[in-house]
Amino acid sequence: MKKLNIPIVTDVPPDASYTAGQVLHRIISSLPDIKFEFFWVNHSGLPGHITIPNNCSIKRIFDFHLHGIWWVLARFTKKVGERSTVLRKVGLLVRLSMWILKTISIGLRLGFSLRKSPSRLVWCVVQGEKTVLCYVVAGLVSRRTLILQQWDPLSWWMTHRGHPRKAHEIMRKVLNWLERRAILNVVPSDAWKMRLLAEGKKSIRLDNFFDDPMDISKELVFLSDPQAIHAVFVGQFYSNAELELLIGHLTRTLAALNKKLVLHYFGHAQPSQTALGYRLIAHGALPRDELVKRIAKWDLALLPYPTEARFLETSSFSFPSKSRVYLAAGLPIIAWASAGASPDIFYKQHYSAYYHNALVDDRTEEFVSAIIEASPSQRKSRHQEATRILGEQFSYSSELVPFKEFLVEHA
Amino acid sequence: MSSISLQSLAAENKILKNQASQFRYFLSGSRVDINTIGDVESGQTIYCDRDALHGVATGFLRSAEVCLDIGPGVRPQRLLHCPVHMLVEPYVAYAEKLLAAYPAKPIFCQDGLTYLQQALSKSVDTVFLLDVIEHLEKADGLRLLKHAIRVARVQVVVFTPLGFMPQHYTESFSWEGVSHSELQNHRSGWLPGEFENAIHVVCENYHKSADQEFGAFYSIIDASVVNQPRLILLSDGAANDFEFQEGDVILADVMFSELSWKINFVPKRNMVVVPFQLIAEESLTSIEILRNTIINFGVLESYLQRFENVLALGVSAEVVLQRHRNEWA
Repeated sequence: MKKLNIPIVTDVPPDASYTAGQVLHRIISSLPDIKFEFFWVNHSGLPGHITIPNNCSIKRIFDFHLHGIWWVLARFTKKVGERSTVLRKVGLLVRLSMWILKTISIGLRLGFSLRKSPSRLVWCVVQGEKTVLCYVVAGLVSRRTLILQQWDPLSWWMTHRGHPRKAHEIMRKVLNWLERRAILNVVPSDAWKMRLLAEGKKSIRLDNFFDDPMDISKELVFLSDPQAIHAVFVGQFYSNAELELLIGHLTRTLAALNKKLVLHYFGHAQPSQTALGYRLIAHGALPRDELVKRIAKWDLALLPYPTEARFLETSSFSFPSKSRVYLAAGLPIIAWASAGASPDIFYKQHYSAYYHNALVDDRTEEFVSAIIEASPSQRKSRHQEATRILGEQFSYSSELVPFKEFLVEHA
Repeated sequence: MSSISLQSLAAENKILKNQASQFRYFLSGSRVDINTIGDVESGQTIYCDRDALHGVATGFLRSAEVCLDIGPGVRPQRLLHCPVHMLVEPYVAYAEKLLAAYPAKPIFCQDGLTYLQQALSKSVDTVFLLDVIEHLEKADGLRLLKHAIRVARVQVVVFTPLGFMPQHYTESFSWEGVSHSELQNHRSGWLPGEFENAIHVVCENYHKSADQEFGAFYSIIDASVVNQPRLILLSDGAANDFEFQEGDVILADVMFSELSWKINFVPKRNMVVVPFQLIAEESLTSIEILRNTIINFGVLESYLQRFENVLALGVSAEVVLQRHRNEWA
């Protein structure tokens, strides 16, 4: 195999301590034959102490912060903008111009750096509108073909940052152009991949994949509690409406079955109990494989997903990586998601016997009763079924190998 | 060769065989691969595979200096290393074998129930009843268990088939060269639910024969809390099968004690009222403010710190207990 050297341009570093970085770290470290040159477009201002894989080296870091006279000017326009609406609009316009100029200048420098690379391919990770603009410029200047990777649609970032609708439309068109130009679009869900393919863009699905599954049935243990159902929630503990509604619904259902709810939380946050009627145990964050082993003994996993209309695109095209952890643990999943949400479509198609969307399906009591009554051998066969799906859909062979083959063919 | 030297050779051979047997016994799995499973509380059951059963159960054992091994047969327990390991074996042939193989261990050739009845309360750390109680009638087994819990300071470890598993003595069977006796007959069947204050580790297909499968389980009974007085936080009625005990101290919710008819079924001795519902609803209020404004909050705090055996009955009581465990964060 020829010696490959591929530049990767990203805002989030391939460091396992970041959610998206964990995926990049996993992909890069699983391709030890390929060297990766990391160009860090650090527009979020992340701290510089990072741990990256051995076959990856930092080539250049681009800082998006304004310095010197530009910083003074930005501060001045912000201060002056507090005095009147007109001055505020003028200030916004000045700062927007400065931001565009800064991003274009970084795009230019990045483009010239990439021109020196022997690789014909550049792997770009899109995380918001700044990276889109930067990659457009860098792509044109470098004359390299791009692989574009996205986890969340652009609207997710721009809605969060409060950009006006007009800006959404403009950036959407720019991204569309970039997606067409890219030789490959890497996305986390089948729904997103199908949309891109329908638009004539080449696309594959790749996210936080697992090693090819092995038979661990002899090591499996299952916990049974006559008093309670033990549910698991992994990730950001936002006390959002969906999570609260799901917990409330589950608590009421269990009360009718004379059971209690014990919620085990895994993540970096220090959550507090938002309502009575259940017991919350916070375990802190764990590495993914350890987490899978730890939660496999419990009864159920919770999957709340955005249902608000403004996050429709996100819920349709993103894919919650926590649900992959739930699947790897062989747990039944109870979701609170819109009917067209990507995890809802996926799990209904592949894992329907052990998946329930409590928002749209009213047979929660039936679903929970089946969980309570499941014998250890039934739980074991559920785990085997989940392992099979994991192997087919989210494993090294099914996700990373096609990507690796693509790199070898085109780099 | 004289008959004396032949006898001495035979005796020496016997000793060597015993030592070899002991050595083989320790080499063939004397060290159980401990598999520590976290997040398991009393009353809960862990189901696992046959190969994992002993390792998982061992992971739940607390360390012990002095342990009492009731009915070990010719193989003393290997789950826990105890500097003082006493063996109580009623069958003389087995006891003799033990005596030869384990000269350093105190061995008593006595019925387990008789031994335990005479033993002082809280005089050993751990009592092992491994493959023992199924050989007794149910009533005798319960008596044995009661005394084992009384004698143990830390834990009682029970290992027995899951439900009744028929086993009848026949002279053709032997264990390491020692013929079985009628003591080997199974006389009762047991289920995990029969052991209170315990963590259960179950394998549903432990004993396999050509045509039948029987499970087996460990129940690791926490003897340290069994005889302690209980603190019961009560914000709702107790279940019908809940039994209040003589020494229970009860903290009842004000609203519950004033308004619910279920209070009629709660003994009033040793009872203090505390507004649990109010404390549960004030989840964002700091501990200092609660201390200064909630009636009997000081009593609640002090009792929660002093009692190890605490039960919460009702949603508000559970929330209060959880907040206490989270140090009122």
